Amino acid sequence: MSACARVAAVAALTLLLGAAAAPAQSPFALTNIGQDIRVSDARIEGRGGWGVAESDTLSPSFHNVAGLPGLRHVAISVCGFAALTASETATASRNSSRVTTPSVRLGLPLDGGRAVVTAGFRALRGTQYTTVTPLETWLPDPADPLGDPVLFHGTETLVREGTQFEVPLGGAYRVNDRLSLGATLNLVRGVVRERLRDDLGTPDGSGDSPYVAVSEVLTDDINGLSTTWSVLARPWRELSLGASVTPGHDWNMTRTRDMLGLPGSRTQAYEVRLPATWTLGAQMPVHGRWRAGCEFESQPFGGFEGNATWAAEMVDAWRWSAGVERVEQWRRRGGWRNLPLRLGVSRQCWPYRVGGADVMETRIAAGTGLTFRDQSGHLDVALSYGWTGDRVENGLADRTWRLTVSLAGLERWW
Amino acid sequence: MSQLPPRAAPPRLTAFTACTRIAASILIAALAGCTSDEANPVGTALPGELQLNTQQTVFVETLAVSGRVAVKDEALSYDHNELLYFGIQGADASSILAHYDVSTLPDSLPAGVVIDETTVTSVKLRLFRTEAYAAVPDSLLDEVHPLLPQNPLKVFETHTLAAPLDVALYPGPEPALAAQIASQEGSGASVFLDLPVEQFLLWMTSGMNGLLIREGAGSQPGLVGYAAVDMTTAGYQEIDLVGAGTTVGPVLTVAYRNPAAELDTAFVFEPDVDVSTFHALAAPPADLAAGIEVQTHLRRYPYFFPDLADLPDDILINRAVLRLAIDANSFGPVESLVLHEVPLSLLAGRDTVTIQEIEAAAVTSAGNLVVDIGQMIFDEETWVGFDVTGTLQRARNGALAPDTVLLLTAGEDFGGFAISGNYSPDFYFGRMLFLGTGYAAQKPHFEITFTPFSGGGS
Repeated sequence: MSACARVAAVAALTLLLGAAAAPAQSPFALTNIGQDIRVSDARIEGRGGWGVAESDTLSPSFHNVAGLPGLRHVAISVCGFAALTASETATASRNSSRVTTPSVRLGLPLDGGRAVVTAGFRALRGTQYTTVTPLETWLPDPADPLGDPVLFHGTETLVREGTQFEVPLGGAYRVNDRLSLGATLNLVRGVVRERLRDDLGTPDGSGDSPYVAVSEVLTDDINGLSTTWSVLARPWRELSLGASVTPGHDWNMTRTRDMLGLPGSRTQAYEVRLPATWTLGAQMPVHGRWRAGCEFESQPFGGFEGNATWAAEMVDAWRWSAGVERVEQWRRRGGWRNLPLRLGVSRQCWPYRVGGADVMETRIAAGTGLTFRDQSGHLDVALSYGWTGDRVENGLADRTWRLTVSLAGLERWW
Repeated sequence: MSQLPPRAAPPRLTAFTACTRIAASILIAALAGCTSDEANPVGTALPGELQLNTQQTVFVETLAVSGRVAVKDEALSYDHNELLYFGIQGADASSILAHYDVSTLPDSLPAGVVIDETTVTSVKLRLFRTEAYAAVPDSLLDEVHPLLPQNPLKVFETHTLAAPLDVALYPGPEPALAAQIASQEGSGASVFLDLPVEQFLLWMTSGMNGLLIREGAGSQPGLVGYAAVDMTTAGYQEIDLVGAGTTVGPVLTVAYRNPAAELDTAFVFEPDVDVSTFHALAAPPADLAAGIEVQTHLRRYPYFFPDLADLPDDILINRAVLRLAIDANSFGPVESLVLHEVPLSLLAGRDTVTIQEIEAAAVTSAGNLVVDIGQMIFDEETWVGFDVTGTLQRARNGALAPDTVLLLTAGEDFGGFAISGNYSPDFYFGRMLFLGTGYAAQKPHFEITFTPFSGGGS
């Protein structure tokens, strides 16, 4: 089986598993624009999230497409993660799990690797969570229709779901040994859907309700176009600097409201303005096989416009990450010492407030990987543990284990 | 640009690397296979954009349209009904009319034998009361319907007719009578009326061949149902006792004894046709204010539809219930009650429609399998309800034909809600009465609980 075929098989398996799992993610994703679920590859995740200043011809990173030049083979990379989240409020807790839709990226070298054309798919943000709460409603008593209303005990179920994703199409070019440039055109699509259902119940809370349940669906369909510009430079010795920016852009939104039992739907078109996203990072060897890096990303969602409900809670999001990596070696009888080892930490501020306070997330990560025979690909894994939110300030706190797996395959096809 | 130092060719995969791959795959599968806890209130405090409106309840008492219509079964002529009604109950009164062909009697005897008062020793007319009218102790009122008259003592007057019997005139006024030939008290399951032989022979030779049995003075009130000649179907207790096909109708038994001819026999004559006159029938409620009536046997059904104009647009009807308050003047057995969606054009301006027309046009809206008004009165219950949520939602959605009305019927053979144990509406004469809009505290009304669409009006 070729490397690409292996990658494709694993991608299919991951999708299958993702479809089979009962999906739920952090309850913080239950509101606003949703949780950031971008993932480039497990190497970057294992280092805490930095990688914009990276270039690797064996296991190409699509975190910054300006790092792709130098590829000798067609590269396909698949990456996804599964997460186990334990959430707590003052009165309740819940464990949930989710497998994300994996990202798939392709790099095609041209001109001996000096230029690279790239395409792919990756999820940007996701929202997948369900709450069920007791519902109390005063309604006429079927047994005494003209008497005083009685209290019915039912449930209210809110399901929020949807994924925003992009299809980046672009290329990168190596200007010289110390400078590469890249750009992608990103087709953005996605949906955010809320389904709210009130089962009105019965006076004693058991049996079937004589009242028809109320169910409404609010769907925002997203259709947008953005560009990302990136650069990778090696200004001094082995120090690498990388940067990318996605300028502010508009999303065309189509809002549809449906009520179960009523014909037709209500549709409204509107636009939202996404703020620019920019990322800066650096990395350099520090000692022997070890190298270190860091990265900062800013998404000033305080400038978000177009959806007043979302905008009212939005804040400037940011993320920084730092970490070290012991690169892989192939010494005979090297055993565990041959493996790469990655350690990192990241801290980020979510783009919206919950409970009136910013949502802060801290994550520590570790990872390793394996090279396929004949250097035809790479398998990497990262395991991270994160703390999100504060039970006092946000009314809710998460603890999340996340396992990220990525596969990169290299193929000679001409 | 490559950041890594030149690499030596990697060794072949070792058992270690293979195990690591397998372990990673298992870990992925384990994580992916983990199911989340059941959804619970965690996350409830986070604001969603979607907010449902609160339920509201209104009572709609105004009807956009109402009326009543007589209904008959095209496949069942009036003279083929299975019960003969006798007696007076309130404003309803009925006598029994029966026609016999006794012209065959001479042919049944040897030629030359005499038919006169010396040889015809007796003539008896038997009436077979149905079980529902049997006397029962109070303790069993729950089992035999308390609203049915219970075995009243009756005076049976038998009359001959002044003209040939024409059953097409019935229900209607009693025919012109020639003479009263007998009067006799009776009650119980079987009543044997002795007819005087002389009068019988005169009647037989007159060619009129019709008899009317009328309630005489001194009778206890109540309509009592007796088996008609057409009552031969299994399923009723009377027939089950004697076997399907057995005639339990009003048969004449003529005893003949002629020692000279060595004849001692009896001749049984079934009626060719028998009907209840229902020469007096209570008028239906004058209008909706006076009441709503569902009458079986001589079917008369009401129809109506609520005025929904005051309801807002874009609503989900959580529950809509038609409530009718029982009028204690009701009488009759346990029945099903069914609401059918019927086009008004089928009913308006017509005195009578057929069951077949209704069946072809009707869609069942709601029904109650068993409506035991007698028991409900006994239990001091007030309301009979019908869940018409689906019908009213479709009306609001514009999915119901605009001239649709709700026709309230007993449990017919179509549309569901007619179960064995309930009688066919053409069997027992009964009348379910419900209070009309003139009864301020217990008006008929539609209780409608609805939720406005949060996205409505945009």
